[in-house]
Amino acid sequence: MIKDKKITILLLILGISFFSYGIIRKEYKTVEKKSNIICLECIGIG
Amino acid sequence: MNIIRKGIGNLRFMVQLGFTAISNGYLIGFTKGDIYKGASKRICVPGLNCYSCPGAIASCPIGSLQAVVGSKNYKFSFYIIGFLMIIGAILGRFVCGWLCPFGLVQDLIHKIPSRKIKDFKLDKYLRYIKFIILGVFVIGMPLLIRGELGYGSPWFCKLICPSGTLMAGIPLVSMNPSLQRTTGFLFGWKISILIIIILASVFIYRPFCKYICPLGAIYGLFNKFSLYSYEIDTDLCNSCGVCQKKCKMNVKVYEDPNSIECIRCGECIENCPKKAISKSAIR
Repeated sequence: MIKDKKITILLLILGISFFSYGIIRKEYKTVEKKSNIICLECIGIG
Repeated sequence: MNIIRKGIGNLRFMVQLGFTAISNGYLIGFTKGDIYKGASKRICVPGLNCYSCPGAIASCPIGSLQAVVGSKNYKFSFYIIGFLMIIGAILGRFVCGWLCPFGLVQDLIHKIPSRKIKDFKLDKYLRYIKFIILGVFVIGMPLLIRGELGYGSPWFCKLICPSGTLMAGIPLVSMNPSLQRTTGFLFGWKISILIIIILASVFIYRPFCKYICPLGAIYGLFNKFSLYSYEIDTDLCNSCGVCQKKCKMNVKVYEDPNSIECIRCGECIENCPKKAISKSAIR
């Protein structure tokens, strides 16, 4: 099973590493800032 | 019109409905014509769910990806790419079939009785468009085209996304007089795209997911490797083709059970006369 799922496990480890590094870089603050104001582009105005 | 039916379709409908309700649970927003503002919006939902929808309590991963890539501080989003990799490696396009609000909208529209078009000449070529949209509008343009202040626009949201128009644009503009005064050509353009997608959804199953959605393109790439996958018992399968006939995404399940187009609706599993298809978290 582990052998068959090698790529999946690798992707998961890579994903968790990326995600954690993104948190360390505080990327979530950019997401929070953008999503807490009405996105004029998203609604077709900006 | 049969909206609720027995079996996997019913379960899927309930999950879609429940997930859409939870991720858009800020109901006051719909009455006030404003959006929810809070710390939970730093987290993304797995499906295409506009963060400017009045009810949204979390963020859209495609909108967030463009926001981070187009920001001054970052040129690559480890946070969003990592999130998409985790969800993709676990679920793949299960998200499209079961958790995406705009998928639910298209599913419901497709139930309108009409002549259904399952396959046509250009279908297989049009399916590549979503990858072009991902590369050009979601990553390339926000990264490369910068405004005077140094920020890139979310071009996919701005020019294409009909989910944003339906879930955010229409409710906010209809309830907010100050926004109504600022609508112009762009709003008309986005409404036109939404109308085209809605009309197409009557005849073609999930045209947005098949041809346009960049999130579906990303999750599709994970389908072959995701923990949640489909498996064919080659001893039982006689390649009768019933699975493909029942598959609304027109996947040849007996040849490629983990196709990038499979949204894991489960119709093939339910309808296989030999019960040769199974879902598995462990291969």
